[in-house]
Amino acid sequence: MDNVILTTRAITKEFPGVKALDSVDFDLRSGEVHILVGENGAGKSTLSKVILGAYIPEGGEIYLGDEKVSFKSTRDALQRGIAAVYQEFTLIPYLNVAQNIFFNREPRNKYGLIDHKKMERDAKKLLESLNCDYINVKLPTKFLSVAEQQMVEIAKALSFNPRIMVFDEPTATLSEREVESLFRRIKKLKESGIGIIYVSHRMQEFKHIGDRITVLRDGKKIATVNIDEVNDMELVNMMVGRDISQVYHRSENHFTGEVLRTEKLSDKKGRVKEVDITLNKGEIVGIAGLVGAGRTELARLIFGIDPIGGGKLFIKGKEIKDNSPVKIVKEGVGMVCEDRKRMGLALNHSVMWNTVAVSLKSFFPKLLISHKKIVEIVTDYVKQLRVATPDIYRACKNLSGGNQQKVVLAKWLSANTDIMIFDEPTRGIDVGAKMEIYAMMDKLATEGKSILMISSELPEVIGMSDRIYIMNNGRIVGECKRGELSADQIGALMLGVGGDSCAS
Amino acid sequence: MQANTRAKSFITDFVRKIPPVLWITLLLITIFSMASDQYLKFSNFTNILVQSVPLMLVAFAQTLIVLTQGTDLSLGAQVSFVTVLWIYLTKAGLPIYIAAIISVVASMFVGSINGLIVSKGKIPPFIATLGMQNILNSISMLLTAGASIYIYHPLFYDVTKAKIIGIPLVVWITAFMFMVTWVVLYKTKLGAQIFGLGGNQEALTLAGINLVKPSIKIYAFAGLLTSVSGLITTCRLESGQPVVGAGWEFEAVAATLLGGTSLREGKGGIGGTIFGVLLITILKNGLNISGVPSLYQNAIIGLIILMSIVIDALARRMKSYEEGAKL
Amino acid sequence: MKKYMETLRRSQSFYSYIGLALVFIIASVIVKEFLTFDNIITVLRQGSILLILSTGLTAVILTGNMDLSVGASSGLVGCICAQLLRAGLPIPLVFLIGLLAGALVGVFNGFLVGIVKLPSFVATYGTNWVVAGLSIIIMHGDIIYGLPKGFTWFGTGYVGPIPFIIIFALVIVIIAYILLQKTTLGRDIYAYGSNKDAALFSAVPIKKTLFSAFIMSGLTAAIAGMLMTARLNAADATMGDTYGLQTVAAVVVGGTSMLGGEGGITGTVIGAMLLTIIVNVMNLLGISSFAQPMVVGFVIVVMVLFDSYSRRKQNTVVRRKQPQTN
Repeated sequence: MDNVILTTRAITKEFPGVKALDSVDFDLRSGEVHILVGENGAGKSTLSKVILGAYIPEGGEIYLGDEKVSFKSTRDALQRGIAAVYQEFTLIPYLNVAQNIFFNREPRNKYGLIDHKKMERDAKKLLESLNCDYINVKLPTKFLSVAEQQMVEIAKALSFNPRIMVFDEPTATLSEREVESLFRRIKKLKESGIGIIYVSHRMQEFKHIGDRITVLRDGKKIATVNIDEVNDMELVNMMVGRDISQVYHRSENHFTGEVLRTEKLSDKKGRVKEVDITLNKGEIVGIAGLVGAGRTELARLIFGIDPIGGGKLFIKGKEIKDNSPVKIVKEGVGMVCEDRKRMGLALNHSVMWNTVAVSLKSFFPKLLISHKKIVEIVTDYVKQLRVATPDIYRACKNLSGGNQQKVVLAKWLSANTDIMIFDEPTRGIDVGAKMEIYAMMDKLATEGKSILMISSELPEVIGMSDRIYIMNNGRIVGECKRGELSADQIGALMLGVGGDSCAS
Repeated sequence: MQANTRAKSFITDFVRKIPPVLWITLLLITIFSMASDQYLKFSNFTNILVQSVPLMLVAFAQTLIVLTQGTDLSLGAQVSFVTVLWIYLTKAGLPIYIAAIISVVASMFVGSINGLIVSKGKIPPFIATLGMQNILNSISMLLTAGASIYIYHPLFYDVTKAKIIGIPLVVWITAFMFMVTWVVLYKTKLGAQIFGLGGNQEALTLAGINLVKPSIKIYAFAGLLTSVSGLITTCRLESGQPVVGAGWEFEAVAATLLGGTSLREGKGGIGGTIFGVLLITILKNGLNISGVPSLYQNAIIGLIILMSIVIDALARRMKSYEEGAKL
Repeated sequence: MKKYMETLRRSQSFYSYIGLALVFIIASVIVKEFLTFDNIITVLRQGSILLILSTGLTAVILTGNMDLSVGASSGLVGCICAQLLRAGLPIPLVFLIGLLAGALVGVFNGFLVGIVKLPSFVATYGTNWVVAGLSIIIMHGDIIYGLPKGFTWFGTGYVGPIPFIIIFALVIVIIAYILLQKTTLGRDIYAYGSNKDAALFSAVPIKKTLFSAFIMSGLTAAIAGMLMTARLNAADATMGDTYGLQTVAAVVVGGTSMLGGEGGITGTVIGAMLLTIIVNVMNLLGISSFAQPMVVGFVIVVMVLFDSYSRRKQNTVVRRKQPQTN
C-alpha cells in the first residue's frame, strides 16, 4: 500500500504483571477512518497512547511512512503531525477559545507578549474550516456546550497541522444530533487526506464512520477487516472471544400493581414538563430520548435530588410531598447514576463501605455498628453479584467499570430496594459486563422489582424494556409496549418529528 | 447563536460581578462620612490609598496563587521576614540598596521553594505554606531576638513622603506592580499556565508541560510582590518587625475572594482584588477615624468582612443559576 | 491475607507511626530526661489540649473541609466561662454554657459552609476573626486570674499519679473514635468526605452530616478552652490563638487527607503526640522558643511529603496493574 502513513510492527507494552500490548501490528492509510475496538482492557487505549507518544513501548517499531520513529513524549508525536482529541477534554475553563487552541504556543508580538489579535484571527480561521464559526473565540470555554467544546478540541488538534488524528471515544458525551455533525466533520477531515484512528466501543457507530476496523482483545490483535465485510455479531464475537447468541434476554414476566406514578410532574427549571408515567411491579420501563431531553432530570426529580416544581409523585400509592433522597430511599427507591465515578461510588473507599453506604442505617438502627456483621453481609453480596475483587477491602477505584457498577447494584440491593432507576447503566462498560448487567436487570424484574431505565443507546432500550416512554424537550411525546414501534419510529419521536405532539 | 446569547450573559455576568463589593464599600463610606466630618477630606482618601498599599501587593500575590487553586499561608510571614532581613543586613553593614535587593531575592527564593514543594512533592499548598510560615516566623524571630529592630536612614522618609503629581510614590509603585502582574497574567505564557493549573491540570500534562516549572515561577513571582510590600512596610515603620505581616495572608484571601476570584475553579482575575483590598482598608480606616474603641474593632472588621463574603457569594449564586443546577 | 490487607488499609498513617517511633527513639537517646515517668506524664499533659482540639477537627477534615476557628473558639469559651465563674455561676452550669457556646460556633460554621456554600477555609477563618474579636470584647482587654478551686481542679487535679486532664483527653479520644468508626454518623462523615455527590445519591443526609462534623469540632474546642482556662487558672482573650494552625498540623501530620474521606482518630493521636514530643524535647534541650516553630514547620512538611509520596506509590502500583482502564 503506497498511501500507508503509519505502521506499527510488533508493538509490545508491559505494565508490571500485565502485557497490555502483545506484538501488535497496525497500519493507517491516509484518508481513512480506522476504528480501534475492543473491550475495556483490550489495549485499544494503550495502543493509541503509544502512537501518541504518551507511552513508550518496550518492544516493536513505529514507522511514519518509511521512516522509523520513536516518540519520547506527546510533544514529539505532535511535532510529527500526530494529534489527539481525548475523551476527557483538555480545555481550560476560564481561558477563551483562542487561548485554549493555542495554549502554550501563543503567538508573540514584537515585545515578546502574547498577540491576542493574531491568536483570535487564527482560531477563527480554524473554526471556520470546521464550519464552526458560530463559536465565539473570545468566550471562555466554560460557557460552551459539550459539543462545542469538542469542536474546539478538534480545532486545537488541527492547529498542529496533523497528518494523523486520534479520536478517543469522542461520542461518549454527545447527543445523537451532535454525533451526526461530528461525523460529518470527521468525514471532511478524512477527505482532506488525514488518517484517522477512531477508538470506540459503540458498535452502531462503526458503519457510519469507519473504513477499516481492528479488533483487539487481551492486548493482542484479533483481526483487521474492512467495515463492510463484517456484521455486528461477528464483531462482538471477536471482541468478547465467545459466542453470544442473545444480547438482550428477557424472561416471561407478569406485572402486578402500580408502584410508581407521576401526575403532571414538573421541575422548577422547566426541563421536565408535566410528565405522566407509571411503573408496575416487575416491569422494566425504558425512557428514550436525546441527551438534553430531560430524562436524567426526570430521574433526579423522582429520586429527590431536585425539588418538585409542580404535579404529583406517588410511590406505592403514597404521595411524596417534599422529596429528598433520604425520603425517597425510605420508600424503597434506588438510583444507579449515569456517572458512576462522580455520583455512584466513593472511589477511595473499599467495596465493603460502598456496599453498605445506604443500608447501614437499616442494618444497625441502634447506635453502634458491627464490623463483623458488615463483613458477612458484604461478602454475601459480592458472591451473589460475582464482583471480581480479591477481597472486600479493595478500594473501588481499583475495580473495572463493570465491577464498579456491580458494587453500585449491591449497594441498592442490600438496602432492600424494590424500585430501581437506572440512568445509562452500561455506559463505559465492556460487552461482557454489559450482558451481565442486562441479565441482572432481567432477574430483578422476575423477582418482582421494578426498573425505570434511561438510556441513549436505543438498542438497549428496545431490547430490555417492557414499555417505553419517549421524551423530547422535557415532555413525554410517546409511549409504546414492547415490540410495538420500530427503532426508526422511536428515533423520529425522540427527535420530535414523529407523532402528534411536535414540541419546540 | 446559542454561543452568542451565552456570550452576552457572560458579559453581563462580568459587569455584575463586582457590585456587592462596590455597594458595601459605598455603604461604608456613607456611614463613616456621617460619623466623622474628617472622613470625606481628600487627604483621607490619599491616606486610604497609601494604607492599602502593603496589603494590596500581598493580595495580588495571593490572587495569582488562588487562581492556581492554591493558597499561600506564608505570604504574611514573608512580609515580616523581608522587613527583618532588610534592616538586619543593613545593620550588619551592607549598603541599604544591596540589602534591599538581597531581601527581594530571598523572598523570591522562599516562594520558589514553596512552588517546588507544592508541585514536585504534590502536597496541598495549604500545608506546604503553613510549614513555610512557621519556618519564616522562626527565622524572623531569631534574627531580631523577638523584638523590632531599627536603623535610621533618610531613604525611609523619602519613600513614604515622596509624591509624583500629587500622588504618593508608594501608590505609583503599587500601580506599576499591578501593571506587571496584569501583563504576566494576561500577556504571557505563564499567565495562561496559571489559569491552566487552576482549571485543568490534565491539559497541561497532555500539552507536555511539566507542572513544576510554572509553579515555581508563580510562587516566586508572589514572593517578589510580597517583598515589595515588605520593603514599603519597612520604610513606613522605619524598622524590621518579626510579626508585622501576621494574618495578612488571610486578609489577602478575603480581598481576593471579594474581588471575584473563585477558590475552586481557576476563575477570576487581578482587577477585582483591588476593590477587595480597598473595602478592607476603608473599613479599618473608617473605624479608626470615627473613633470606634479599638476593643470592638476586631470583631466588627471580622464580621463585616465575613458578611461581605457571604453577600457576595449569595449574589453570585443567584446569578449562576445554571452552575448551581449541576449539584 | 486479610491481616495483610488490614495493615495496608491502615497504612494511611503508616508514616505517622514510623515518625512517632523515630522521634521517640531519638528523644530517648539524646535526652536522658525524656524517658522518665515524670516527663512522659508531662508530655501527655502538655499534649492533652492539642489532642482534644484535634479530635474534633479530624471530623471536619474527614468531610474534606477545614476549621480554622478552633483556636479562637477555645479561647472564647475559656473567656466566657471565666467571666461567668467570676459572676458566681455554679460550675456545672458554666460547663453547660461553655459547651453550648462551642456548639453554636459549630452551627455557625456549618451554616456558612453547608448553606451559604463558602469554601470552609475562608468561612472558618472569618469565624475565627469574629470569635477572636468577641473574646476581646468579653474580656474588655483584661486578663482574669483566680478561678474557683472546683473548676481549676479539672485542669490541675490528679487521679492517683495521673493528671485528670490526661484521663479526660483519653475519654474524648475514645468517644470520638467510636463516633467516627462505629456509628452510622461516622460512616456518613467518611462518605461525605470521599465523594459528596455519591453520598447525596446514597441518601446520606449531607447537611446533617456536615453540621455534625462542625458541631463536633466546636464542642471539642469548647472542652479544650475550658480545660485550658482551668489549667492556667486564668483567661486571656488570645490564649487559644496559637492552637489554631497547630491543630491542623496535628491532624494532617497524622495522615488524615485534606481532601477528605481518608484517615482517622488514630492518626490524629499520633500526630498530636508527635508534635508535642518534639516541642517537649526542644524544651528539654533548651532550644530557643524562637527556633521551635521552624522545627515544627519542617516536621509538618516532611511528614506530609512522605504521606503524599506513599499514597502516590500505592496509586501507581494499582494503576500499573490495570493499565488500560479508559
